[in-house]
Amino acid sequence: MLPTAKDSFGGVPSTPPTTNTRHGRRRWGEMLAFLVLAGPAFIWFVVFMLRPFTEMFRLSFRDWYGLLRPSEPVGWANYTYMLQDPIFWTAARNSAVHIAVTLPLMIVLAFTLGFFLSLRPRGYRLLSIIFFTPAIISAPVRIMMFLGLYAPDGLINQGLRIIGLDTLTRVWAADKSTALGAVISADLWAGIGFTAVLFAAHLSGISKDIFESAELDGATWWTKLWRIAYPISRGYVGVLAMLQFLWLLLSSAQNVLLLTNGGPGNASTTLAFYLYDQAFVASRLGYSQAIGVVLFVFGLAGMLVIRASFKEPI
Amino acid sequence: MHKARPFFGFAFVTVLTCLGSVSAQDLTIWSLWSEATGTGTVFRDVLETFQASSGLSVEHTTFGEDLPEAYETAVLAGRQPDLVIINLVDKPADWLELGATVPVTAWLDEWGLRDRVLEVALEQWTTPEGETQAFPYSGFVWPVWYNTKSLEAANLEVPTTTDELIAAAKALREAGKDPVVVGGIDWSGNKLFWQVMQSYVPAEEVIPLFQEGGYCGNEGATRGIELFLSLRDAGVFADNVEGLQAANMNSAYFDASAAIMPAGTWAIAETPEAVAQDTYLGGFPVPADGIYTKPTAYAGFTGAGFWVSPSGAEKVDSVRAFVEYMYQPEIAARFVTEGNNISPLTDIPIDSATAAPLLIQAQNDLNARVEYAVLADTYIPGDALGQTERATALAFTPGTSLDEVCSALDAAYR
Repeated sequence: MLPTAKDSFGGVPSTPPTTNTRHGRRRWGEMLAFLVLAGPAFIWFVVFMLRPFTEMFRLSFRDWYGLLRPSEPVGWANYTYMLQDPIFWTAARNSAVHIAVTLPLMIVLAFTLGFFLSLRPRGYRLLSIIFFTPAIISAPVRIMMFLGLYAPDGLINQGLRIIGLDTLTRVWAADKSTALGAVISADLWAGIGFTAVLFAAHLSGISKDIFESAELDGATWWTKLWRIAYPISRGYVGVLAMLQFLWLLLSSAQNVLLLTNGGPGNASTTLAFYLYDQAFVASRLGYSQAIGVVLFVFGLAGMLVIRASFKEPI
Repeated sequence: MHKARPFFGFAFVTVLTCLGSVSAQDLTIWSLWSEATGTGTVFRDVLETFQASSGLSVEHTTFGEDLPEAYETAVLAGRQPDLVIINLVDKPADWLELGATVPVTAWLDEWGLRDRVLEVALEQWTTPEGETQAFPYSGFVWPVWYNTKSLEAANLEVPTTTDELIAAAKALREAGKDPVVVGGIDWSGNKLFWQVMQSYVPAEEVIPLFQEGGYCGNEGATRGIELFLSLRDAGVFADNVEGLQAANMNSAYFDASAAIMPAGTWAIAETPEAVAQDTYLGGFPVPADGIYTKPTAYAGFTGAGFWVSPSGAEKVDSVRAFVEYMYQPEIAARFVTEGNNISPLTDIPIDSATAAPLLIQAQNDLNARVEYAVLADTYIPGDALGQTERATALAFTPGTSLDEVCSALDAAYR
């Protein structure tokens, strides 16, 4: 009796050796192809993303005053200084206000507008282009436009004077009570349309039958928006809210720098702007990285909170 | 993959050639002198003639306000230019100490240039240790411009005291003019604030004050800040001054909607001829009981200098040829008459037929009319400069108190 495959490994049946080798070679080939194709991107990620990220933590424990000066370890000194730094706390408060006001307004208004666009009203293509335009205008151009609006003789004050509300005129970007609001308004203008177009693209994928059925049951436009479209899109809303949160928290420096330079005083200084100021103006590079670490922690915490808030029920 | 080899080889050689071509130039120069300015236009022409006459090739790159950061990054990478033309403020003030540039002290003597430079200019460019940081090339005066036509229409003369200024402001407003216009939100308002702040600060205290802060605890400083706030509250500054920038200031003065502005000689080139004819250059009025007896202005020779990098030090012959060319009287005179610079050189002929009348007035008449205040930028530490600018912007905002302003200033030095 000839030995069978079953006899090969103590009675455990096995596949013929030639099939095993071909399968193994194919897997190695796939692995190699993956490494070759994904390798450059992975190397780029490690060198240009991971390395700077870890350096941020390392440098936050060093005193480094100026690019050309050597840095020296100072332990937790940057963090203990931060606890006593009134400008840091002003910036943190301003960032909190900035996000607390901008994010909910932006998401709610953008979702509403996106739903409207997804219904494909007349001229929706043109409307989509108009709403998306702020996203493709460069920041300096956008801010120049708002500087014109906010100027003492800008459109806002001119409009107020025309309707007899002279007492409400302000130097919007230079008044300590309105400077942060000026930044918030510019961010809202830039973000609502762009986010609305993204929502519209997502909502367009929802079957129209659902809405038609709801209409037959007497659902209003508002009901369709918040009782049907929103629950279906909850996860996506969470993703966009998370992205906008991160953008507001981490990228506000640009608009603040161009619009108000953080002033007057520190009335419109946000954490991201303070990081830029400490790094590139004050040359306190170690301290700026400590602010960066705090921003990272806030960003991570915020992301987790938003993710948990928009988690779709099982 | 074998078909891609020629491509990668070509790319590799191209990259090497590009890298090599940077050092193939006889001189590389970085500067702030954009061709959008009078100085930049002159420099472009001068560089062309220099290259033609010397046979040296020059690569010139202009930068904005990020030139200090760009240069420091280049030094770290070992890719710095041979010469950098920039002023002596903030980061460049540390370059010599950090080895980012080399001292030019010995070259000034070896090349016979020391006597060509005004002593006061050399002092400003020389460290306490006796090292000259760069070849001085450009200065400025920063007077107060008075539109005499607007003043005459309100039956006014040029004010010299703060009381006269307050009275003049009232009269000008009644005549439909803004009094003093300045960029309350930026560097122009910042400099005016410092000018007024030091009205009561004794000379021996003002530099340490700028270097170390302590405004709330300094009697002279608090008196000076209170004076500034009283001028603000008396309506001396243009409406909404806290939201204005330097560009707004220039526009308001040039269209004669404002009668007075503090501006440096760099603004001369843009001044409409009609306004220039009516402009009297003087100083900012001073309190009768202050430390200054005449209106104050700023002046300095630190506007621009030729800084030599370590790589420039290895091309000393080319650097010498460039500096000697630029120091020729007829070349330096072009920067004065066409670029409206104040030259730190001793023997520059000013052609009164071609030079701007305002420049001639600044060169010939201003010294007798003013005393010169201390320019804070030279002394305020770099890491406090940005914060102090935001703090002084606060001073222009109606309703801000002495305590808020001096606290914000002191916080900048923490």
